[in-house]
Amino acid sequence: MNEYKILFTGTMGAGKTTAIGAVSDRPPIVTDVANTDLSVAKARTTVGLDFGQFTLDSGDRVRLFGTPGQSRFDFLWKILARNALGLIILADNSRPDPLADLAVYLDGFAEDLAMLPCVIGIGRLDSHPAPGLDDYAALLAQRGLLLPLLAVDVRRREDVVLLIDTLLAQLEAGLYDEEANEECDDEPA
Amino acid sequence: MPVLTLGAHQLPAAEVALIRSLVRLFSHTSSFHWRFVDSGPCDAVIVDTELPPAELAEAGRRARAVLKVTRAYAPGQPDTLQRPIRADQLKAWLERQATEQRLMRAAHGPPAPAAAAGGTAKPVHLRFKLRRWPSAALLRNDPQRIRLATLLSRRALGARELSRISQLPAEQCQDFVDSLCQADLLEVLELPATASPAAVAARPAPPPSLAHGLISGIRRRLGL
Repeated sequence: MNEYKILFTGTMGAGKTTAIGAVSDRPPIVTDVANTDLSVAKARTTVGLDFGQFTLDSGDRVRLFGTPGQSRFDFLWKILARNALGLIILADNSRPDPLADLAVYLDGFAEDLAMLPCVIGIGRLDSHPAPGLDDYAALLAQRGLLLPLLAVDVRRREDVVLLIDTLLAQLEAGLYDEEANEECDDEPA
Repeated sequence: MPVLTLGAHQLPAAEVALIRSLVRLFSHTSSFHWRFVDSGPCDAVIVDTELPPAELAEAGRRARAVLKVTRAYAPGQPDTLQRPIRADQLKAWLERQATEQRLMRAAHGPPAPAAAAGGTAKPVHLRFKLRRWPSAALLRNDPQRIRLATLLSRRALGARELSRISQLPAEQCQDFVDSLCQADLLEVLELPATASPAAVAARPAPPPSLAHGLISGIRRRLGL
């Protein structure tokens, strides 16, 4: 049996725990405590990490880890990102400066983003339309990044599934690269 | 956009007349950029598949793109139309070519006429890579479009390669590439001669690897 992991990160209240719960076989294990950050209207928040998983027909397991949102835990982000299948960054558009929030995670995972499949899910766009997806795309372009950007409601399972499928498509593109090179190498000169 | 030229190589006179009339008819729409020419180098040429190989090669030297017409049943064959020539299919092929040739011009400047270059015109194969994530309006929150855009965000692919990886119809992939092109979101790369998209697409699928098994296993588990 093999084990794989997908990482969910983002600010407090962005919906990491909810997203994991949407696809996990069992309710996520949550390591949360009473929130003492008065700037966020949330009773409890994650301080360790959230954990869920689903099991494949083969018996292999995909573990779903939610990082603590606060940047003071960024040492944990790097540890969790090792050997991950992909990274899902959740942004909360109702926060005062969601683009600056995203920049924190882009910086925190900068070393991994060159290779690690990554998708950005932006929540609460319906109620808070600015900044729009194009503004996020512009921020990424400024940093020389091109990452999928999706408007999501992580309470909807299909939205979380689409985020994961977007990671899988990135893995597929990488695999095709390897196969195409191998096939070209096989061709007679 | 400059007007592109379409020729016919040793087709029956009735078919040439039909093609000339259709091109004139299509050109009444502002988005259509082709005109028919009777002789000389051109951007695309229409030939009969039953011509001898030397004649087909001669036609290839005349133009950057070749459209073959055949009496045989030819569903899904690239750059091939089944007789009788249907206006909608001819128009769709010409519009696709216009997009590709526009991209080529953007990437490499205007093509040298084949005759002036004095060499054999090689078939042009293009790969595309996203330069920037598309707008929500273009993606329409459609999971298939999002998957195609994701693939193109990660590596340069031709429309047929895109179809092979995504397992979506080639025409759907081509249409999506055209949309991205119109939105000026694509970087265009020329494909190495040893691995044309058609050749890659025609290769038998490699045996499923461990990674492919994992990806399909996750998709199955998530109900995709």
